[in-house]
Amino acid sequence: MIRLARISVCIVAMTIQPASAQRLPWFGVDPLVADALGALRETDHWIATAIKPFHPPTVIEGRDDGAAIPSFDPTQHLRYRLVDMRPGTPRAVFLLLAWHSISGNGPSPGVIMQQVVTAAGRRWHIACEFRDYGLSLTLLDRRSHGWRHFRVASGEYGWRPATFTPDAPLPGGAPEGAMECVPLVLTEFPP
Amino acid sequence: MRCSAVALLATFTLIAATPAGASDRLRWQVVPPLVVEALEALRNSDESLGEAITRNLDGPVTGRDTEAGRSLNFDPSSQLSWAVTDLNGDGRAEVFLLFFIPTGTAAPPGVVMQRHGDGWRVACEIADPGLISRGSHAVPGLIQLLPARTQGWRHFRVFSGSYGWYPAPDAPGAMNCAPLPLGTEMRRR
Repeated sequence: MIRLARISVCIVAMTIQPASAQRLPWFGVDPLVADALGALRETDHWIATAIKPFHPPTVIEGRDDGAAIPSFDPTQHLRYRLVDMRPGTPRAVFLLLAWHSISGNGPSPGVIMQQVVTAAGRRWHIACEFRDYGLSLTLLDRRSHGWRHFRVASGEYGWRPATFTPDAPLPGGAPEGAMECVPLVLTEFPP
Repeated sequence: MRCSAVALLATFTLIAATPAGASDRLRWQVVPPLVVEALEALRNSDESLGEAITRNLDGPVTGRDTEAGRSLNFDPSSQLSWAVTDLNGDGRAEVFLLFFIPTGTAAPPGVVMQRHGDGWRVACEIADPGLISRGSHAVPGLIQLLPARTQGWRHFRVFSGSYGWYPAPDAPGAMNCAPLPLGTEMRRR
């Protein structure tokens, strides 16, 4: 009996962390989101052009006026969400550019970046453009081609196979498997 | 009679448990506001790390286009990690910031930002890989919060070492970190 008690004490002692040290994980923007944002910035899309000056407001060497240029800052102006839009496909990245320089007082522009697997490897495709106020987005239970419909401030969207990649023209059109959203119910602004 | 009452109850339970329309409402994710605030304070400070992350490396034309490659400037979406915790139990969290920028050091540099007055100050300079290798991929690493405290401030361990605290001579009420000699991490000071 005493032997059993000793073994129990040993097991309990081994399972308790020494002197209650705690572990605190590092967090960061999901690498897939960062990659999608980087890919968006490399396109000729108007949002990419708008967010290109890519550093915090600072004085640029070579400028005489010493003016600080306000620029897009992902920590302050980016909202994002990784979403399983269709089982068995890479998660889509919803990016919302909540930056007053491009949205003014209205809803912010956003895109859905889709990772498409081609013979040449994985590449990003702009699958949708929408607008939202940045509070929440709703995934609906309806689907087109396996892709889940969704609702944001600018309306409700479904899906169809993409025929082109916006602002990144390809000789052969959109890659196989690429999707594009279709507005089903549009919201007029102001709603 | 009794059977139909049970069936009715079961139906009500099923209705209550089924989400209406099975749609999912998702909140947009953001970098936590406290992290944004601490990062902004570091950027506006004259700390060398603050200057490093605000330096424009792209020349007069900021942000590079497709031909010139991606921007060389600090990009917090891919080069920043953070951790938020209340180290001294005063109800105001401290913020660990880690920067994956090329510095030539063994591990990415970072800071612990402490609220001081209406603003923030750098309470500690650290270095940590921020990631640990698990099989073929990397997962977020960990900061170890130690049980020992100095004046209520919890000691911690990262890649660059274990750290304790002492009152900051230049900022009344604030603390600075100090590396702890090996083997003394658990002791109360």
